[in-house]
Amino acid sequence: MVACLAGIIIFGMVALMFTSVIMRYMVNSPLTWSDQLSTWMFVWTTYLGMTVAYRQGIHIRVDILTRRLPSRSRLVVECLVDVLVGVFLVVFIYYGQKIAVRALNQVYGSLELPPSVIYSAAPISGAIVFLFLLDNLRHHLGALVSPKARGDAR
Amino acid sequence: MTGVVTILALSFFGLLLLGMPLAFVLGLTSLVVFLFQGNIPLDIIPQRMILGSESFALMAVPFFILAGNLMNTGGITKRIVIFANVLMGRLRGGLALADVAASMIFAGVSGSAVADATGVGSVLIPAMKKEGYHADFAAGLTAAASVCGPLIPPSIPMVVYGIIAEVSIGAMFLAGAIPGFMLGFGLMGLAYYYSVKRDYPRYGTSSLRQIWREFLRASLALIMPGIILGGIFSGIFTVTESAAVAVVYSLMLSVFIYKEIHLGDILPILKQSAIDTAVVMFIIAVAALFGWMMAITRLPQLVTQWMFSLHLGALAMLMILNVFLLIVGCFMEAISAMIILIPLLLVPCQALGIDRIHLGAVIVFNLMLGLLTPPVGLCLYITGRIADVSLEEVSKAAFPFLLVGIGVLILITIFPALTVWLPRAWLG
Repeated sequence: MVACLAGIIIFGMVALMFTSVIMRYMVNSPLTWSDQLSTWMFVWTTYLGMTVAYRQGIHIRVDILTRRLPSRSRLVVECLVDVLVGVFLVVFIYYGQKIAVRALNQVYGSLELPPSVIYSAAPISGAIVFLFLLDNLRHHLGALVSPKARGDAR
Repeated sequence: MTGVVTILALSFFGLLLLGMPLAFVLGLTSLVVFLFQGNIPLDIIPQRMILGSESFALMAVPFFILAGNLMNTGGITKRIVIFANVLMGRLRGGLALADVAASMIFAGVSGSAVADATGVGSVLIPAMKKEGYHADFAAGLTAAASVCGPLIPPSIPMVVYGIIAEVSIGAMFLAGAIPGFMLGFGLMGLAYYYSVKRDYPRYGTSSLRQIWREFLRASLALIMPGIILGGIFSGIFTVTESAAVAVVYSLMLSVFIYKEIHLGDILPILKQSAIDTAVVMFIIAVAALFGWMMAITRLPQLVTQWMFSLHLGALAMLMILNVFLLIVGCFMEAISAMIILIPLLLVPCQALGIDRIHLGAVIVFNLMLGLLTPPVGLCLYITGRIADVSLEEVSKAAFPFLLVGIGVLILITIFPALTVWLPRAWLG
């Protein structure tokens, strides 16, 4: 569902950009706000899409070392990575909401809206990834304590 | 100061080898360095990360990805391939030559090797296997030809380089053109040699009339490079806008004229493109934070001092850089490697008198060859999967073509004019 939303925003960006080209050349009245709006939509696609990529486990990483580990030690490493990413997410979410709230009464760019519109992508996407991360961690820990379930944890 | 650099390196390589996703490695390393320095407000972390993705120029990335996906599902790629077939069919190894030619035409619209390999490969590899070509040859050649995608303009990695190095993206596009054509024609030459040696079939001679008919049939697809590149270089629209125009054009063509995409198919394509985009863009966004962090640790200055202490000339330095990048390219995805390395390389290379445009073309060309080297050769995986051969077999078959690429790389390194002449002549 998040992926759908991100996809629709991309479509919106294309439509907006195309309209602005048309307006500039054919109607001769360039839109002043469209570039800013589409850039902000772009921020949201990036951060919404990033959560889906995390869920699907397709973020780019180097696994030449961990791939060779026996399954039990690999699970321990996976749990460690989950915890460390979790720590980073907590920082990202906490300070993200802080700057979003602080910027509420500023105005920014040609839209004259507070930058909180984009800053809020930080705590929101961070929280979504955090939920996915807890689920991953539960799987990894579960597989670690009960060897039977190890097969279906990835 | 060296303390900070040690912490930085330990944290970066340690986390990377634990198998943590690269974007989080960059983020966590920055966090660790900030905590070590002690006086940096952590507000910087979300702020730099969000502002790192707030870029008008970078919006070309999702648009080019989306245009490539639409061309492949909408029948545009198929028509380009058929046209290339009738054009090259009369020669020995006609399909192999068509494979390279189609990749080069496709490259004029798409900016990514992955889209090129997927689109051209899924049509031509099965056809080549049926005509008696060896499967590993088909896969290796297609993978190598797809490297033209990000060299012949437009190009996603050139957009990224242009932004990091603060060089005009149009100039970077033009810088990739001559190397891209050199690679394409070089690959054709080698493919022809193999075809004669192994007695691969002709595809069948086609009359001029047939060629004309297929040309007309593919014409709406074939004018796409003209619209996009013409639009950019005549200044009618920006690079980002041209990418949006490419999306709208390929959407119109596949839905209303070729009728190969139904409205219901669009949402899955959009979803996939959003996810592909996010994987690249999230790294770029976190890299903005990472770059800021590196600047305060003064690591780029250290690298500069070290490189000067070697007392090497510009050419020797570029050659060493090439060897280093070829090794990096085996293990790392190109855009990630660029984002981490370019800020470190720009200052010293500029001080040695290396042109930014030349440097960028060499770096991008080099890292694109990484798509052809195991273990992280993305294009080898894609074409190998289509041809149903193992990674080892594709890698071996692609090796002679990789050597062609390395040959071109050496040429463009020695002769800067091959990259900088076109942008200078055109853009002044």
